[in-house]
Amino acid sequence: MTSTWINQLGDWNPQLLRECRGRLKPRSLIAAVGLSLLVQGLIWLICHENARTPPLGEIDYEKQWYLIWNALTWTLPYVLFTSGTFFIIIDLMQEQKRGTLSFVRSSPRPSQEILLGKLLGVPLLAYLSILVAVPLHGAAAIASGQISPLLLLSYYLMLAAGAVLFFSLAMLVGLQGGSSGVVGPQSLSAFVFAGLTLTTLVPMFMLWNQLVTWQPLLPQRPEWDVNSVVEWSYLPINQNWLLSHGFTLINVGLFTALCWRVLRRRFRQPSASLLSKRQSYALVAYLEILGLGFFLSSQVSVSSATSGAIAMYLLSAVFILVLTFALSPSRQALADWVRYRMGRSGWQPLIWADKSPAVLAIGINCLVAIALIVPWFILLSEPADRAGAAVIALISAISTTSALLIYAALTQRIFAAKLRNPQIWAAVTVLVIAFIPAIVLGILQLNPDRVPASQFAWTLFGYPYLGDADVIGFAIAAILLQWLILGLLLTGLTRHLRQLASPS
Amino acid sequence: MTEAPAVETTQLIVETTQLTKQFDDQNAVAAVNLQISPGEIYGLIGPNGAGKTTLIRMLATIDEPTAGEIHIGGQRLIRDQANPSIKQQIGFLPDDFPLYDDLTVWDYLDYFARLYYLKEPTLTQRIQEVIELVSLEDKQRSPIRQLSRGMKQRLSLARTVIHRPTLLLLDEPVSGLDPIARIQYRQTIKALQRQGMTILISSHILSDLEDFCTAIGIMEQGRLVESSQLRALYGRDSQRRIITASLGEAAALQTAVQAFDGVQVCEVLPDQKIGFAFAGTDVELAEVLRSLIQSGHAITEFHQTQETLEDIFIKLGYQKTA
Repeated sequence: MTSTWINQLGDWNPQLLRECRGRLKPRSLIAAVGLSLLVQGLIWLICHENARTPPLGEIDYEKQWYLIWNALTWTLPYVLFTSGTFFIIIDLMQEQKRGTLSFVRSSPRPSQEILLGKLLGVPLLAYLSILVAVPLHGAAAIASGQISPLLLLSYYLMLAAGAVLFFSLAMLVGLQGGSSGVVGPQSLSAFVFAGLTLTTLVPMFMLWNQLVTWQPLLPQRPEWDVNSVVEWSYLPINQNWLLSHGFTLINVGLFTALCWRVLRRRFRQPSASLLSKRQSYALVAYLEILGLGFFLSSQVSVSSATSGAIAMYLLSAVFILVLTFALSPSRQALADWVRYRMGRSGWQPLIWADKSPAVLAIGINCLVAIALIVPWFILLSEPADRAGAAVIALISAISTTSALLIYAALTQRIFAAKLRNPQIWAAVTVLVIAFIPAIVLGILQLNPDRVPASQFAWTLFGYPYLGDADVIGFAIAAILLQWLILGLLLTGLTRHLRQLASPS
Repeated sequence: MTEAPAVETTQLIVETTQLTKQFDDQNAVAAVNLQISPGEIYGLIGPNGAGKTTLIRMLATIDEPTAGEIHIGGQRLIRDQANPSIKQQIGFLPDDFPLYDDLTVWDYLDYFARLYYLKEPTLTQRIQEVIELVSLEDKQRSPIRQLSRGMKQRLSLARTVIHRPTLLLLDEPVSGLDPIARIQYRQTIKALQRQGMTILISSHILSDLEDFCTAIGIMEQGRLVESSQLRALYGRDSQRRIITASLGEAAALQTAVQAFDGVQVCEVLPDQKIGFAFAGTDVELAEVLRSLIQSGHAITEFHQTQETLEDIFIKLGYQKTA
């Protein structure tokens, strides 16, 4: 009944065939192709007008083709990534809302096959509109005489790699959004993520490729010329096209692989926390190593490397704060864990088990980050100041870790409570405690240089210790208070978990 | 495929051990030990909220148990694993039967057939078979959004059986159907049993189930409080109830009937018929009828009434389930 190749496609990936059948309707096809042609026509018209040479107004055809290539090069990622991520999130949320995803989940096909079908199939119309633009883009590149075929090839390779990465992230958002209890219209996260793609991810994609991946291949023109060497661990990664592509593809590959592990887990167990504890350790270690590598560069001075270390430190703290929400299990999961862990006790479950409280896992993630940043910070200081730098780094690390553990315990306690929207409660509570006092202290200009006692408050909320030796007493007192608070919170959490263990 | 059956547990199609699911502080399903033999149509009865849907969803691998074990066809369901060979055996139809509006009937069945690894030429043949089974031949090229509710329900059943599962899990499949559609649906279910499928079907309407079930389980507040063969349930009450009537006085007939051995609780019914419980054998019952006629009673009616499932359950003390 069906032709051979459709049959083969369906045998290989039924999800992809299903998406094709659902989406490739004549009206949608005409709209996608028509819109693509219309945009191409507009770009051609504008570039044609801009290619006139003064004063005679003759067309400089090489310039015209170059302009067309340039315009399409910038347009395609925006169209592909923004519309694709939007379609994917909406599709997955609808499937979860209707309950159809449960059937697919209960079929014997492996989850990666279904997810691959979604990745290839849901943005079909976006792929098609890009495909329709390829002839003009390619022809313009060749006709301009300035674009190497290697660059053209690399462009499509990066477009494909970017699509896999961003669409995988979108699938994660779609699976997460459809199952979380957070209030708000179903399509909200689709709009938010597509907006993020439009304003942040695509510009970052283009900037990175321009700066690194395509740098050795780009035409010598002012709009493409960045004229700087990017090094990672003292390895210049944007001077040689093999290295630039290798570095980009390896990292996109690593990140996508991690993303797919999370996806497969989420697909199979929708009630699980977003990340497993094991995945979080791998993610933090990977991001820290990647981030630090960029500061290990002959292009970066010691002073900017020190600022870099501080920036990395703050970013890591914020990232681990976000991770707290992705790792903390829900009330139900905690109850299951305390009731049915069946004789398994000790530290192991707190480090690895899925449904156990996430506080210790957050502590381990802090240690992973500290293990890289603190020695590096100490190494950056002058050999004579190393002892002082070590004290500063250690006190900062201890106070930030303690603060993050307090936030983790607080989040876990709120997640364990019987609340309608624990995520929102926890987020508001933690954000207020973590940032409002610092903002107030900042507005009042209460810093240790002016008011030494303010070091107590700064340390208490986990901000890095940058003061000198005479305020160290305040910092240590604040850390002791942090530990007292943490101890109280953990005692309360333990008591609450015991109550959960004996259902009414 | 990947996991070998851990323990070969006799020939049971479904076996659960201490199966438990908790929501918040409530046990939705509490320590259920369910056993279903091959070829059975097992009716799961209970009021709304008794845990029927949760139990079925766990068996269908949709929800994860909090504790306890599930064996399907002798294979243990392993947590956090894909369990593809178990999934291949199960067909699950939930009560809300969600569908895809953008596909045609044929494409929808084709999609699910392929999800269960059906390939040409079996694929086309099987789709045709299930379309015939649920009488949707006229609609096979129609988009799903154009189908009526009853048709959608039948299409969902077709999707559920497309891969010839050995175990069918049907959650309230006849709710919301009109009487004729209900009869058709029962016939389809019987046809599926004849094809060798074991069927677990839930309902809170007893009369839906007594027509075709071979075994019955009752759930109350998460627990399986009763689970037995239907015949055993009927047989549990060894007395038979007989209705008789004559052209003469009801009181005279009552007196005559009461004289026989084995007759208990003989009463005049509101319509002037006589109803009595009889503990004897068939031969003894035939003797009662012959003696009545020989002694001049003009008997117009003499028959045994079948107690309904509902009567039995009320007698057993499960008022809540009715």
